[in-house]
Amino acid sequence: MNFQVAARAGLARTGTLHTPHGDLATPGCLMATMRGIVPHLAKDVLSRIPYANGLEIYFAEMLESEGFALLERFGVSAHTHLNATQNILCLSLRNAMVYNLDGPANDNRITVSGEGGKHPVNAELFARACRLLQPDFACAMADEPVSTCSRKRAGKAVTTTGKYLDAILAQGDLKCPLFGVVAGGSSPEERVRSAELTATRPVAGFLLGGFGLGETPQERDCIFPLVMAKLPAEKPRMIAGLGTPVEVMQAVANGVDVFSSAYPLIESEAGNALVFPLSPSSQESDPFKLNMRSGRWELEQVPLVAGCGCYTCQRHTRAYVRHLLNTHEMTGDILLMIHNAYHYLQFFAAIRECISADASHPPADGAHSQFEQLRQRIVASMLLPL
Amino acid sequence: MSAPPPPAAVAPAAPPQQAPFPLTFTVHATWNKARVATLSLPHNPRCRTPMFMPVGTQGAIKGLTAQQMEDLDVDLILGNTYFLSLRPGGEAMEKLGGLHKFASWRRAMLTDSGGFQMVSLLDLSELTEEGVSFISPVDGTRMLLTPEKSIQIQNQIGADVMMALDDVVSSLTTGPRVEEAMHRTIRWLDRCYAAHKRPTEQNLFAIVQGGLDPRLRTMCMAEMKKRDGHIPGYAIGGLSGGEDKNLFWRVVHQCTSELPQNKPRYLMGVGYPLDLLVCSALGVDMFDCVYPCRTARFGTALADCPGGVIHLRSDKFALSKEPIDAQCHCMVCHEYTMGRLHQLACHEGGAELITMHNIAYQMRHMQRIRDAIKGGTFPDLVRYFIRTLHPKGDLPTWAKDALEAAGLPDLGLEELRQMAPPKEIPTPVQEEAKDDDEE
Ligand SMILES: [Zn+2]
Ligand SMILES: [Zn+2]
Repeated sequence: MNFQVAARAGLARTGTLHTPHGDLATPGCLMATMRGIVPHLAKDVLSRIPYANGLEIYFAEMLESEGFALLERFGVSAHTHLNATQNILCLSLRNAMVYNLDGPANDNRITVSGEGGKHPVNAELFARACRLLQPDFACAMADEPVSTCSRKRAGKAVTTTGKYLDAILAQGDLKCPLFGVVAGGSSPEERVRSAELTATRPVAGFLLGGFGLGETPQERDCIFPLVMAKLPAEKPRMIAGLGTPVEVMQAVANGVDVFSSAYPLIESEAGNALVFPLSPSSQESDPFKLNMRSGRWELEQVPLVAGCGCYTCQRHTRAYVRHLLNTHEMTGDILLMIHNAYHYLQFFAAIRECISADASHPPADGAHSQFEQLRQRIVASMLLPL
Repeated sequence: MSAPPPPAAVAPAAPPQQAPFPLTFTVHATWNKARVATLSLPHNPRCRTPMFMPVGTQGAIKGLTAQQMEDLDVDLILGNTYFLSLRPGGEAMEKLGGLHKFASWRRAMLTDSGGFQMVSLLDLSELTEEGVSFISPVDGTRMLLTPEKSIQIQNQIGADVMMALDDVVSSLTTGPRVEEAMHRTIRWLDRCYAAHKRPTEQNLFAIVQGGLDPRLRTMCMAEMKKRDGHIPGYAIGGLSGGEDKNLFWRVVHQCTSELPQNKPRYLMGVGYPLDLLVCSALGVDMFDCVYPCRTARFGTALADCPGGVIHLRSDKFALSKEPIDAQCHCMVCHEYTMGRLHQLACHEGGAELITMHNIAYQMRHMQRIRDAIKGGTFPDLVRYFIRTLHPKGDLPTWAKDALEAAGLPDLGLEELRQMAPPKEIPTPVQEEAKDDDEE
């Protein structure tokens, strides 16, 4: 794995994460999976969505539905078994769709929950999974309590997370790059301590763990710059648990490169189409999202988003998508998810363009950067009625 | 059903004239009764028959995109008038410009009359000479589906082929009800043609009824032939309802013998691969069936193997690195191993994929049937099929009899019974058939 930053604007940066299974343009997003597939998107459909080449796969699901013993007999990597040779795979313990790290933890092991129950995971099992699955990178075990925990609990989480990392590093060759986890809940002091500790270890990158667990945006605004200042600039930084466009832009503005998110899926399952603006200069007053189950669209023979390049918008209409959703046809979920995944990944492309533009043409004094204009347009769209 | 039977239908007073149907049916090759033809329809001038028509209730096969259906080379999909009449409704459909435009489907489409769902899905349906009355599952009001109403909605949907509303009785029914239904079907047929507002854009097919009684079938067809000038194509209805297959094939054989040779014949609700082979041999041109989609939801894939199906939920596929069928060109066989499909089929997520493969299988099956008829190698195909799917010579008697009637007296079943399965067949993968995927 090799990470290259191409341009910087403030703390934000854009670049490329090179892996043996393809490049991820950063800031970029790994799609959350269920048993190794992006829900509703078969391979032929997924392969036609630009930038949908990064997938996050989950430890508990691999453990349960494959069974490590089975996979070991099978003798193939996750790329082969999932036939994901064109996909960047990141192995994570924390599931992007449901928080699953709330089980008991001690100095040696954490507990991950999956459909099949709770699974204790120690450094040895973690290393075994890495060697077996050989993802493009794996995020280390971490103690990730909810953000409302006490400073004392946050401090313990930092210490234990450090112990896990050292125990994993002591396991020898993992056959995949490892991201160390910055823990510490909502305590700025503990976050800094965790960042300092993790930065001294031989890891390929960093995961900012334990976000999206009840902390406020203000707390993140306080923590992000303190943590980033301690992390070496040349290594990629990933965050889990944040996915709304405003959350993403807040993290990007502080130097986060890689996201993992189920956000397009969550909005699709709620019947919403993402239509928020993707251009800092867009003058149209687009709303943020549309409720596609609404009777408003009964006769609306227009795409979800005018000019959208996704398969759904190129071929189908709001009226038809609404009809399929209302008649509970699986194809409706597919068409909506295609658009939402496309739109969301185009949002990351827009972010990258803004950073590049701001890097080559820094805004004049008092003027807003392209990045900030895009953010404000999106915030404005959220104030419009759905 | 207390109303006294109305007088027998009278053939239209005007002499039948050959209407300029929005359809041409060009036969390219025959093998005994089997034929290969091009069915040219307004939205697809090149439907290749014999053809299998997947059911796409709302203009979409369950879980597939229109692009995927095109990739699977589907020529025509079947929409369900009953469901479309509930939502979005006929008037909305008209405002939306018809189902082709609404669903952005660029190839051919066929709609049923809506009567079958009404009789089979709704306990509270009631039949009168006027039509079928039923309680709307959407708003609970009593509604009436008449021949005129069915045609009106089908005109609003705008499919290339529409079906006349018939009086559907279960193929297990016997007695005077069957005859009554046959006569009513003829009377309703006249009302359907009288109500048809778009005869130059849409084809209205007649449905032959008469249960399992050859006498009634002949009477029905005789009445319809008097109206042949109005009829662009014929369907064989009232079968595939669990009747004795020994009677089933004889009705098909009889109908294909007595119906006009120059018009397409559509056998409704039939679609098991063996049935497709046998009934193509008997001269049927069009088929539809929910089977490949429904069975996929239970993890069952269609394949050329003993028994013809692979139950992917079986643990024996957990470690398989093979595709369902290495010969299959579908996306699923290219991208997914059976081990992977096993894992997905045991949870949700596999159904769409297996559906896709099953449709591809049906399409490929029809292609080889057409190729064999054209190439004069139909007997070879039948023998290959039997050897592969019934390697122990366990071909059902009805199929053997039907193929014999179609001109294949010697299938070599006795030889097969004494032979080991041929080498090219993969190790037997058939499991005990499960009841859950039966109709
Ligand atoms: Zn779109
Ligand atoms: Zn296939």
